[in-house]
Amino acid sequence: MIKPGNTRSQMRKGILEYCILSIIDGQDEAYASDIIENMKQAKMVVVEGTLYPLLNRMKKSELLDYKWRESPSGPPRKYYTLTGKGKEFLSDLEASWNDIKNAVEQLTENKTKK
Amino acid sequence: MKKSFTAEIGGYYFLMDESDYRYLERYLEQVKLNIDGTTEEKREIMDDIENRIGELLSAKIKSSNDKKITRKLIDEVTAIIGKPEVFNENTGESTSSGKKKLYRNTRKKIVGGVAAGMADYFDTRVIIFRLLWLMVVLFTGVGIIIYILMWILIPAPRGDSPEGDSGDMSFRDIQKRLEEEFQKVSETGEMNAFVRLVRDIAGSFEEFFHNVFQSKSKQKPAKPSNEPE
Repeated sequence: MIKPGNTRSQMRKGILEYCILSIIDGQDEAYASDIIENMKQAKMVVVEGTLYPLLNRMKKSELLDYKWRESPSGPPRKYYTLTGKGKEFLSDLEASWNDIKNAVEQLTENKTKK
Repeated sequence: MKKSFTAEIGGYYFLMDESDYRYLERYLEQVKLNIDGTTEEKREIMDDIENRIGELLSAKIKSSNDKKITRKLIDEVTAIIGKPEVFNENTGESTSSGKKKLYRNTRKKIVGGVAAGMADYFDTRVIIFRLLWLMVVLFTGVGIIIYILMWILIPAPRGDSPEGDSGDMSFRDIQKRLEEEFQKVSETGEMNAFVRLVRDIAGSFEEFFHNVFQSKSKQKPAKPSNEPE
């Protein structure tokens, strides 16, 4: 049985993973608050808390790795980097995202022409 | 007069009232209940969240005139982090590891072990579910029927019953509703939440039964995420 809520959350999760990996890749390394800051700037709506289980899972599936770094203010921070596997995964995601984007663009353009 | 003390949150130190500290602690507990995963994973995620809360609180306190963490600041910060339910949604169906299943607890049973099993599942004290069931049974006409149905449908612990796991899938729905309602009860102390809870359980149950019936008739349970790894 397909539940619409489930599909939506899968979709959101996929997009979120893609964004997180891209941000980390773009900065070489990032800590969670950097990632959040980046998303906010891009006006990507995300509830902060949902990020942490996701980061944890991506670390567990060896897409990400982290190091503890001292911070100028406050306690040490976890800095995430992409692993080789993570980079591969990211380019896969990039390819599928472009496919989806093209397909959606094409289909929605046809619709407006009618 | 209130009792204040210094609390360490994610490596930052704050002055706060004891009641506010408990308030934040309750929030974190509820978040934890909603996270899927092994104990180790949960601990790590909770640490991350706590660190972030510390960071946010520290930024907020710097930009305000208060010296002490107020309830308002806590509410602002927890609103940024998200309601406890969002953690459940997010981790949802894709990971099959460390997923809890609902079983009756036949060792601690008084009647069928349903309440004890639910308490195990939610990691809370069994008395809560016993009282809840008592109320459901006393105040609603269908309470007893629901209980008996759950007794039948929720499997006994592994090794205790040959048919193994059936019906833990739709229990997710019930679980979510239960947790939400519990929150409402504990946050507002609103008694009619119980009434809603009962109604919701009845609703979930109908759906639950429907699902079980469907999956039985197809001979293939609709449980995409439940195969062992």
